[in-house]
Amino acid sequence: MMVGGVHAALRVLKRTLRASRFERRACCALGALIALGECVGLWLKLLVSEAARAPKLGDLVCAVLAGMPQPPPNPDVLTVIQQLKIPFGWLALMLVAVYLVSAVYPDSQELQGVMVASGSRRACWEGIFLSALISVLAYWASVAAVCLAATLALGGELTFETSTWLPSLCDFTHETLTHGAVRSGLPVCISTLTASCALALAQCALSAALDRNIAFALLAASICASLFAMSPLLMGNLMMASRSAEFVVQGPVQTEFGTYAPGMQLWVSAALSGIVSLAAVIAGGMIVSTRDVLRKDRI
Amino acid sequence: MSYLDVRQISKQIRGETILDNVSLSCELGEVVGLEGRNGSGKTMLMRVMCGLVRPTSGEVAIDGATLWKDISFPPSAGILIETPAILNNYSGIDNLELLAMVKGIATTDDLREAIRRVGLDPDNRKRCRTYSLGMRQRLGIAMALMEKPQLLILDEPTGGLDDSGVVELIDIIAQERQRGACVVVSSHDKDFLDSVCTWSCHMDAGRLTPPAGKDR
Repeated sequence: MMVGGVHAALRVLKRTLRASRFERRACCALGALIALGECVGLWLKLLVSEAARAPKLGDLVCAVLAGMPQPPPNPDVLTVIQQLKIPFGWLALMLVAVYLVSAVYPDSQELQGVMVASGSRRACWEGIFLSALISVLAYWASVAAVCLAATLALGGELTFETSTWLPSLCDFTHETLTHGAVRSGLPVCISTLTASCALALAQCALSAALDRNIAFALLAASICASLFAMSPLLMGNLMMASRSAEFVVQGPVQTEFGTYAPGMQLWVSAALSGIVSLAAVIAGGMIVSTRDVLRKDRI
Repeated sequence: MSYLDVRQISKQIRGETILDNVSLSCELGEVVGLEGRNGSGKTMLMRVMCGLVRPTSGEVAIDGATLWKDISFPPSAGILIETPAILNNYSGIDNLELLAMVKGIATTDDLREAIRRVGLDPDNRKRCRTYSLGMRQRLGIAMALMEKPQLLILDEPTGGLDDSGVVELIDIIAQERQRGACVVVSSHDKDFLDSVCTWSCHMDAGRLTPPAGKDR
């Protein structure tokens, strides 16, 4: 019985991945293109800064995942000390990942067919959330591949350590908030990957509970909101290098404009992502197990 | 005990009764028709039969196993309810292959034969987005047939079909009956049901009126 369930889940996984292969390839290509644009952007900034320094892998990864510096605590200060610069590259990268999960998750009619054919609601759910996870991992692998290729092309070191010039060149945050020393881009990568996987699972659970389009809209709104609020509960914050504890000093920082929140630490990101993932898998499983196709009459 | 046994099914949604104490049974090799106008509860009854909707009371047993208790869905079922779930970016045969992957029992020959039976070309590589309504309906019927299921549930299968398509469908249902499948087919077209069914019953406002001698 158990082995049959695993086999059914694997078959649903294979089917879901194959059914969404066009969308998956398109999203991975788009993600790679956006990452390439960000890498080229960093290279141009380096050229302009008149210092012939080859960026390391960590520099490129953090530039791609830079995001937006923490907005000042007092909104009135925004126009004075910091212009509102939307990081379109980062935002596009995150929204494509959210769209990818939406494309992988079967629509209502398709889901009914897959559920009946699999013979098990649980196996169906397991297959679907695993396919969403694999798709997201493939997406980030394509982004990582571009960063790696760009590092090699520019003759940089293959290390996650970042250069001291990175925070100022990428406008990570105010000088008072940044570490000056060499930092590692690895926690940024891990944090982004875990948070992205957790968001993918949450999106699957929301798609099961509501609708995949509503789930997409909610996740996209949460990503956009994270640009303007520094809170780990808005998980977009966990995927920005410019808000990571690697680049923002520990502890709240008092300034004349108000108190800035401390940087997001890796353990916070890992713990939160773990909790969200677990809750999403359990809740999604429960929803699908008791699923009645009549949305407003769910058990 | 019948292969398909629907026992005193009721379904209420927000106080409104959609199915009212419906009982029905169907043996292997039998074709049961559900006739009734739109909104009479035919589609809801079919959804209950295949485990997609949980009844408020009553139960459905397939080959002795109760849905929502012993099994989640009928173990061998071909279903066409409302519009078929077709992926527009894929060809007809690709759509069948994708669905067949889930169960893994239909061979390529089975899929090609199912497509041919409904009058489509298995070698047509055109994407389904170019398919007409009738072709989509034919493909939906092929999806239901491809695994040679024991239970075949067809909801308004003539929708979108031209006259020759309806004639082909009548032949297909007769062949399925001969093969030994338990077929439940719904339609508002009484003539169509009369031409394919062993017996049929009338549905109105969620109540089922079986023909004389067939009431449980």
